[in-house]
Amino acid sequence: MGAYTDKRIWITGASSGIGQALAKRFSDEGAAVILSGRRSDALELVAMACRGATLELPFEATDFEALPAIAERAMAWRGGIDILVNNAGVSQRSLAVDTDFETYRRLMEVDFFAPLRLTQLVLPAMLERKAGQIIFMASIAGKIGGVLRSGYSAAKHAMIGYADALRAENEHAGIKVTVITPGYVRTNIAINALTGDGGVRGQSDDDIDGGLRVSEAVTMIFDGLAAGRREIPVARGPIAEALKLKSLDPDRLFDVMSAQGAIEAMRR
Amino acid sequence: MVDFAGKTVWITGASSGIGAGLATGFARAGARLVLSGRRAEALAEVAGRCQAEVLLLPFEATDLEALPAIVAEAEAKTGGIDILVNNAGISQRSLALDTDFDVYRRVMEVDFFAPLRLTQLVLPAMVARRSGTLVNIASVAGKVGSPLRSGYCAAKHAMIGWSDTLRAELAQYGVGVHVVTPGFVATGIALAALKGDGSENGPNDDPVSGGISTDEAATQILAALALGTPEIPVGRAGAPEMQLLDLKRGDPVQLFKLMESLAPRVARA
Repeated sequence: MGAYTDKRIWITGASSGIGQALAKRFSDEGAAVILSGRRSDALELVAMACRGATLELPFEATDFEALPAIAERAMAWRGGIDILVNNAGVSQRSLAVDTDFETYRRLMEVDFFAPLRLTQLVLPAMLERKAGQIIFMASIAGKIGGVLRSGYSAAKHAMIGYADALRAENEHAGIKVTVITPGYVRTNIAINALTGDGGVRGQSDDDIDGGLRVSEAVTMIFDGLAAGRREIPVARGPIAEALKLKSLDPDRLFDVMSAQGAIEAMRR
Repeated sequence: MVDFAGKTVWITGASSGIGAGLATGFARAGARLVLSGRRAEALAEVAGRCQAEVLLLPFEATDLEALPAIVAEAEAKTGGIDILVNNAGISQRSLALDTDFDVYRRVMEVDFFAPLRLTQLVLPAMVARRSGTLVNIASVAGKVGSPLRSGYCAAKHAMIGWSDTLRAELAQYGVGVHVVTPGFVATGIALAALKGDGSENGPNDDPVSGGISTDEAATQILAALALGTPEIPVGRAGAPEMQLLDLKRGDPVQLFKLMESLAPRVARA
């Protein structure tokens, strides 16, 4: 039993990384968890690791035609969704000058349009009940335009702009909107990131490998949720400082980022 | 100070509003102009007010297939683009709950993918020359998520995230990236804005009509560009929508509360 007893929580991208760990933690806290992702075998393993009730609901995030029926199934399981966690996403590692237009489209589809569509399908029932929470797993790249991440930064900025507008419109009606901005967390995000031609990078990087452990990230997220924060940064060290710098002195941050850009171009 | 004399400046959405104001502003500063927009007649009318060498290049911003040939024509006829002003855009006035998914797609297409594609095509020559300036006209809505603009906020936030990365990656090649965030400027933006079903908002009493003039907006933009300012807020000093920018930086939680208080209360069954 815990803070989320009998809450019905739907998590996308639940087969690995932060999503998987969030699913287990919500389950530990008493929630009934719907696990979504592309790979049903991976979801099954996560379900086995959850203590409480789970529903495995695999789907392709950008199969927009299929989403209404998927959302119906999710809501029918236990008569509604209390919390939707839009966690699924894909990152990028390529300079803008090396990035195909189609790669920008793909990033925007997965990281913005897919969570937007899911939110559209879940929101009306929440508004009828005058209760519900939408959690968006954004990124520090949704606050700071990051080198090698022109399309990812665009999509995550878009997600935050949408989320902030959604909050402004629906908070008075009992809907909570929460934006989480992780920095570097030790997941497969860099391995699975897209390169300029849309291929999969296939290798991690030092920033991610030296980042927060997933368990640390989840603790920070749950602390933020418990405190009712609308925006939850999940970072420490230089990247957490960068987030503060964006607020206090954006010009200085632009200088720091441009220095990074020069370094990446030399590595190119 | 950057001197605009003799520079070739390409402005999209130049047939009205801030784009038209920028056209006459850059012309006064001695620039050569390439003016683009959908409506050839309106572009010609704006060109008539510009004391400058002008190339009219009308095109449909979201006809992405046509863009490579248009960019080639612009470069061939001018000898090269020094400054690209991505100004064309469309706004929105509808609650998220009432907004069709396809409207989100349409707004993202016009406000993000179209300027992105144009920039991709213009950029290689700038990088090769080790000089160039990109000016992306975003909005206060690109910094602050505001009621009735969920899709517009998303697209303008996207434009800014992408621009900030571009700036970081391109500074070393001598290419500057500027983001302009206008508040209320007296243009037709609220009239042309999309409603939730994708139709045009039409005549209304939107606060933009009480905003600064397009000439004043252009003056503020040119002055800041000349100084090399990376992020350029444009509006009446101290106006409420301009204060939001400071609040977003200094106290985002307070801002979220304020924005919520601005949301229209709509009774739902």
